[in-house]
Amino acid sequence: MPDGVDNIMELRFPSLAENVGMARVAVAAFASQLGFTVPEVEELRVAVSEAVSNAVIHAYPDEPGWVEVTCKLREGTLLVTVRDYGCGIEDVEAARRPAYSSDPERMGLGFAFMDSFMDSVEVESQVGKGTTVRMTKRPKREPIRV
Amino acid sequence: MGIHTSLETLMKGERRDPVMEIEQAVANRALILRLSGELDLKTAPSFKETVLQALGAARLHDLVVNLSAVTFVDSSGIGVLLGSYKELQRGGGQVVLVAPQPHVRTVLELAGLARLMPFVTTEAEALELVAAGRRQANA
Repeated sequence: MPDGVDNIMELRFPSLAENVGMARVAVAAFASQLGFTVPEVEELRVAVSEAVSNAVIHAYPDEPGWVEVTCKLREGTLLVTVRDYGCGIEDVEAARRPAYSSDPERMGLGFAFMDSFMDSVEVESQVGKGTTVRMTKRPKREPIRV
Repeated sequence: MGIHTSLETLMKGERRDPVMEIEQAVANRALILRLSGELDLKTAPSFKETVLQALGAARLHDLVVNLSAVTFVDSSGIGVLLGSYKELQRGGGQVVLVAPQPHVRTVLELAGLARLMPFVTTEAEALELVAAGRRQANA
């Protein structure tokens, strides 16, 4: 296991819409060991859904490709990474603005939800190489130790 | 097996049914949709199709979406609600949302939907609201 990591889960799946639900269920199950409240888990589910949906919709315009979701537990914090190896985002800053969307149906809400529901969100992207979204979330309430 | 071959095999395989069910009803020129399950990238297209087909087939003025059995919504589902709102607004119609669960409501409110469409607790209230809206428009 990597240094300083208490637990880890790695998922790899094709960029198909049916895998979005699977990814959020898996991440929520992994997160359950951290003592998140039910509303916090719901927030996490939305953030994961948005990050994976972005990869499914935007990363591979021609044919499906791989999406990887990694969850790590480090010192009571959950780290979620969603990575694709697709077309990348030309202007990450513009893509993160709430009004921005290349898909009018989703109204550019994806990153707004990730920002609202996670403690931190970092986006790294290279055109032609892919995009990595790194998010962290820590339970607001300290776990009860018995 | 390369990714393309494996994906092709996957795509040809049997698809799971979308994890959402939609029940339709019509009352007083309002389309009532009772959704249950999760509203996301996978299921939003069938929700959108149902709305477009139902609104296209009959001269319906308003849309009442019963969300009480919806357990999850993200921006894909919100996109369909906003699209329906824009479509109906052109004809002076309304979209009314019924009884979203608290965590679903939080997401809808964060997206600013409460400014555009009323949230009520029962379908009866929703139907009263759309009837009142029509009376006001005709006055």
